[in-house]
Amino acid sequence: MKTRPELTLADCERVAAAAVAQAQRNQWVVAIAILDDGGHLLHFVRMDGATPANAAIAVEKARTAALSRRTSGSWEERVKAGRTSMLKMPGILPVQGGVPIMVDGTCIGGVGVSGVQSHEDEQIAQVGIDALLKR
Amino acid sequence: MFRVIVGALLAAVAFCANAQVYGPPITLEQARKVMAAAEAEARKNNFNMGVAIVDAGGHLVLFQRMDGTQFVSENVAREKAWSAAAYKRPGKAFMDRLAKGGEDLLILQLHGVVSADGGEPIIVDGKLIGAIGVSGSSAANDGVVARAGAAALK
Repeated sequence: MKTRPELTLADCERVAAAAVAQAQRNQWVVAIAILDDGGHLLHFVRMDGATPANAAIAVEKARTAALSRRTSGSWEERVKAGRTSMLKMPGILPVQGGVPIMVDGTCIGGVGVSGVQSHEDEQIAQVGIDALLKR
Repeated sequence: MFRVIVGALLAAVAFCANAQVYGPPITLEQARKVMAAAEAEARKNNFNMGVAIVDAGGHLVLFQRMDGTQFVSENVAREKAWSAAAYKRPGKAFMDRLAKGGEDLLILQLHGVVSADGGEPIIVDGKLIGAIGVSGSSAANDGVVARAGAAALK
């Protein structure tokens, strides 16, 4: 039988803490969402000053990454390259800042960040994931 | 007919209009205290739960789902918190009124109401700064955990 890893609360806390620390180092204010591989919210943090819009966008970026098993930025690139039909994909927010959590080729969830420039959002998400997987 | 229903609905809301005023939105630090108290209460009772904390506008500030919690607890916890913030009252207040039946059944028609225990306003210095919503066990157990969380800032 195939088995796969699953994110625990402790894993999510580790990802979120690293992401918040990365934002604070840069004096950035963001919302951070961590979803499981079914696209369901596991963990969420909105820093003081981040907007309600950031809250919703962070979740959608994370869902895009978790369900498509690729970064939301890769979807943005396809749109930029002219594939405007990608704007109509179900459940896809084609804006950089969502990163899948991949373990041995299997997607176990996604992290989405919103609040600063989208390449900075993605960097925060990646720092959070690295804190979990590269130790 | 429509006017009668709308009028009755407004009357139902006005009848129970809450004088509670909204304050500044809850800070992340305050929300973390509420979450810690709720999680401690849940662990003490061996409950697996989703816990959502929203600001005074009903928007998510902090959320966590404990290991093994059903995924729909995200939606239920968030909706309970939203309802408590929007109507400035606990879900249990609606639940108890519904149990009496009669005219109060109109509560079921109110926008976004979650008429179950487990949603509580978070009040600091007499002002509503946010709300907590809990889902994962029975309504009564959800309520115990939500109240433990809200009490952390009292």
